[in-house]
Amino acid sequence: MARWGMVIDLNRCTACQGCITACHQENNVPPSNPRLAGQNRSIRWIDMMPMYEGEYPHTAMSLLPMMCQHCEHPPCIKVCPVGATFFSEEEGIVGQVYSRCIGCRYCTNACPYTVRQFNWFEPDVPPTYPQGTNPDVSVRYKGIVEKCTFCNHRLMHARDTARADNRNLLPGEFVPACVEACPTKAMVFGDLEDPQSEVAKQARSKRAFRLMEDLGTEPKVYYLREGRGQ
Amino acid sequence: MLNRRQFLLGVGRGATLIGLAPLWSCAKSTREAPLIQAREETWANSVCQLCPSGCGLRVRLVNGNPVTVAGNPFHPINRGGLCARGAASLQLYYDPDRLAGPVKRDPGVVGGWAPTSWKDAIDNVASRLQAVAFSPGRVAVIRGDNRNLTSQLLGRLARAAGSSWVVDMKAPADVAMEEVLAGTHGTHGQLVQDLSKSTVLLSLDSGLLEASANTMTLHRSFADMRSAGGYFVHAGPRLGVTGAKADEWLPIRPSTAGVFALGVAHMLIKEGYARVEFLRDHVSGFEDWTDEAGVPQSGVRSWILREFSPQRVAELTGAEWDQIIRVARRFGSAERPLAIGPMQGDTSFQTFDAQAVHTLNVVAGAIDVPGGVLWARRAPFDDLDAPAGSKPDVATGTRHSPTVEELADWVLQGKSPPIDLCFVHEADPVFTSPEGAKLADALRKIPFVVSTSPIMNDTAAVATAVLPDSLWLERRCDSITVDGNGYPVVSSSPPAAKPRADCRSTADLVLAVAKSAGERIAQQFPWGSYEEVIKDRVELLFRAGVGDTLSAQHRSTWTQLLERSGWRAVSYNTVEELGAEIDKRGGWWDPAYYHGEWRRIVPGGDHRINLQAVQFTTQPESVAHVEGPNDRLALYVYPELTLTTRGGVSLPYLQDLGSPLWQTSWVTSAEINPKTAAHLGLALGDTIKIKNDRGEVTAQVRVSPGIRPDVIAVQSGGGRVHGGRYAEGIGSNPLRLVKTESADDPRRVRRELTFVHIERVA
Repeated sequence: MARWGMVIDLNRCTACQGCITACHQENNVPPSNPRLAGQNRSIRWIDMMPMYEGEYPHTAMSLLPMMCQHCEHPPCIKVCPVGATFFSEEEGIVGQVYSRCIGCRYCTNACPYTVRQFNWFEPDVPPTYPQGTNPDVSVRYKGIVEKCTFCNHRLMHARDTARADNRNLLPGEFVPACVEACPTKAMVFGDLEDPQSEVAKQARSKRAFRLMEDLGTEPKVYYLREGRGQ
Repeated sequence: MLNRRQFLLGVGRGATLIGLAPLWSCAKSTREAPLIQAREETWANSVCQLCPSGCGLRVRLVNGNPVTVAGNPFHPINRGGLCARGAASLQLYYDPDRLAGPVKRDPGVVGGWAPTSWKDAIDNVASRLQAVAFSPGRVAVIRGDNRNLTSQLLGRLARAAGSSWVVDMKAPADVAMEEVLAGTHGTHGQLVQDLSKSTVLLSLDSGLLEASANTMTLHRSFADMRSAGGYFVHAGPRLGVTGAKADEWLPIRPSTAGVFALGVAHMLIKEGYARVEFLRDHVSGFEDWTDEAGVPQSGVRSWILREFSPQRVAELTGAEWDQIIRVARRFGSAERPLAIGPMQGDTSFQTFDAQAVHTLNVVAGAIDVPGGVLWARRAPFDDLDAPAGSKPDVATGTRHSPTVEELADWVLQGKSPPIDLCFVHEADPVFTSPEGAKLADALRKIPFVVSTSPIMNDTAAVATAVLPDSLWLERRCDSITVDGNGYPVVSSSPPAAKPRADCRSTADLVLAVAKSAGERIAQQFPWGSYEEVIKDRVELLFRAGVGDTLSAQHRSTWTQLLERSGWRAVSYNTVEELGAEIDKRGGWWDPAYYHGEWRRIVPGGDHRINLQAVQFTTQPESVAHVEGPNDRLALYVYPELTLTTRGGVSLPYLQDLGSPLWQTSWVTSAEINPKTAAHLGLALGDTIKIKNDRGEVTAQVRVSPGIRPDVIAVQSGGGRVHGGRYAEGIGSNPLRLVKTESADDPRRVRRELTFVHIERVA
């Protein structure tokens, strides 16, 4: 039993957006175009959330990378009429079953973090792209909701390898693409249930906070506030 | 395309799908194709060439097709990480608009371009080169600022043909800093800002977290500084990502970064924070002195104290005088202060700003100390740029690296000797230079222009022949650079994937051309192929007896101790083993930095930094001419990290990302202060035209409290006319509006403070 979670240190994040491109490359997210972007329908499994505070000249701004928070009590799974999304008790990941999705978008509406993305159109890819898709992740088509899966496919692969070698997962054996790509090592990932893991230690930091905690969703993505201290 | 029913019949599991062949490629009936395809997975190294950082890559291939690009964990520049550009680079490999092979201009063909063969292309270029090799100044090379052997070989080609028209497309700020260093230090060494160990960092309109020539290193060092509790102040007209990550933002007027720096220096001197021992021992020109004729001369110290009081600096910059004093005190009393100036300098920038920031660091003693400005150590071999016996040609005189604007002027004014042959490599100057249109006219006038771009970009579109370079994934690739600690890093990897076009490495092209261009040029190129050049460099690394193949981060003090005692524990015994290890791990480095090597920092004379060498010819008032005409805004152009890749390519993943500050993309955005927007009747999302006497650009309004009310900030990167379907016609190029008139001294880099007016369109 594991509870996979993440801690993002906002002192170290420089908003380079490397996590976003790495995720899109890993998960075969279709490229967008001006039409989709103009309708705010670009698909982003992880995105930078900009928040301005204060008025000029006392302006401050936060930039948070935000992906599916893999809540312990996810609002999205409760509203799905066909069981296309589920909470894995073994891993703590909120999974998505593309083949069952009927595109009603109740889950997209229910998610308070607005991290679920709907394929409004067929992916618009040139004929040269399919050769370069990651074969570990299935490609979605029009009418399907998709979102961050904490690179579930990498977890399955790691579990299979560990099972074949008759051992447990090693720390760091499974990392999502975003965590791997982060150039400043702002993202730490691991099993929150393991009190000795780096992610559990950092989640206990005084600087740690979660988004919209008062909703009771119990997200598993923690952020470390910017500024000095610790 | 499978529908859900067919799929459910085929697969019983309800879990997330794995191991399935991508649905996009299932054009045929799925009953014929197996649902789980056997596949062979391999990994290969490469070296990214999308920016000068030269990060190490690990490429994952499935059945020979690259499917993932990740970072090489051994590589000191990126340590397994990747910025947004690197992670999108596969979209260049699979770009549907890549040129299929070499083409040459042919007006008789529809579209204007006809395919040609490599043999014909090489013969053409070589015979042209041979014809002009005996007259100086007839060959030009315009190259990007990537630091690799191909770039050096091209420079060598021009010089071997007796020309010094080797134009480096560097950021104006980089060119200015080189001039400053050449004057004050007498060296062209590479500066590294050791941000990670500084305790107070002052950004003077630096844009250090936007794009730069050292993106990866700066981002990583910055994160280390913040984790260690460093304090960060950003002074600049625009908040941006740099300001968003700052403890304080001081919104100063554009073009006043240098003035602000000297205001801080003034307070340091006045309140006793200036590092007097350092200034006494290592700097000349600071104190007043009497020259040989007995005439008293004013040092930089008196000038700063006289001209840059907090009140005056406040007037000129728009900051509050008490803010200046407070920031200066925090900076001066810091254990390890560091000032960092503009990294790009597309608008409102002059050499004065680079000189002022350097002077501030000198006064604060932040030179060659941990947390200060370091002089990177070099790899133990010389650049290949300058063949033995090459002389600067008389026409361009004794200039430092000429600019592309100077080349355009030379050609259009019909000056002699005329340029007959021009190469453009890893650069798109028609797009990136403010004088791009003029340059296009100049390139059309040059009889033979060769572009090595893998896609038809704005510069290639006016060339005579486009001989596409292979992508770094498709060939041997290298990078000769330094990391954030000042350590030399030489990266080299064999080809990772098979070429998707009939392309050739430009290094091999240069060698083939040189061989066929007559004895005089051929003798300067004793290598038969790019691989031989690499082997040659590896041999030099071996013989130098320092450094090791890339390895995990470790303490430099240990390496230094070993090196100085003559001990080495390296992973190879022969040159061949070194070559094989480099290919396996990604490169070589020498992780030691020796402080106090003044012969490296100031090679000549008394090894003192000469602050008088680059005269502050401009007085503060003319620098900070701040009030534009009524209803005009000052234009501030900045490079967007996702949109300013080298060589002019736009990848859909990057176009879609745009800026992290807002969630719209595929347009050029312009930031306007809320008060100004209200005054002009503009709302978020409005389309506007931004105009001045140089032209107009179209942009979308972003109302933002992170910009001064008298400034409009426009991201660069959009507005390509050519560049593939994901770039053409997207956005607008604000660089067109920037004035670049040269000051009294034509060596000075100058991007004028440009004023524009706004017109709402929709």
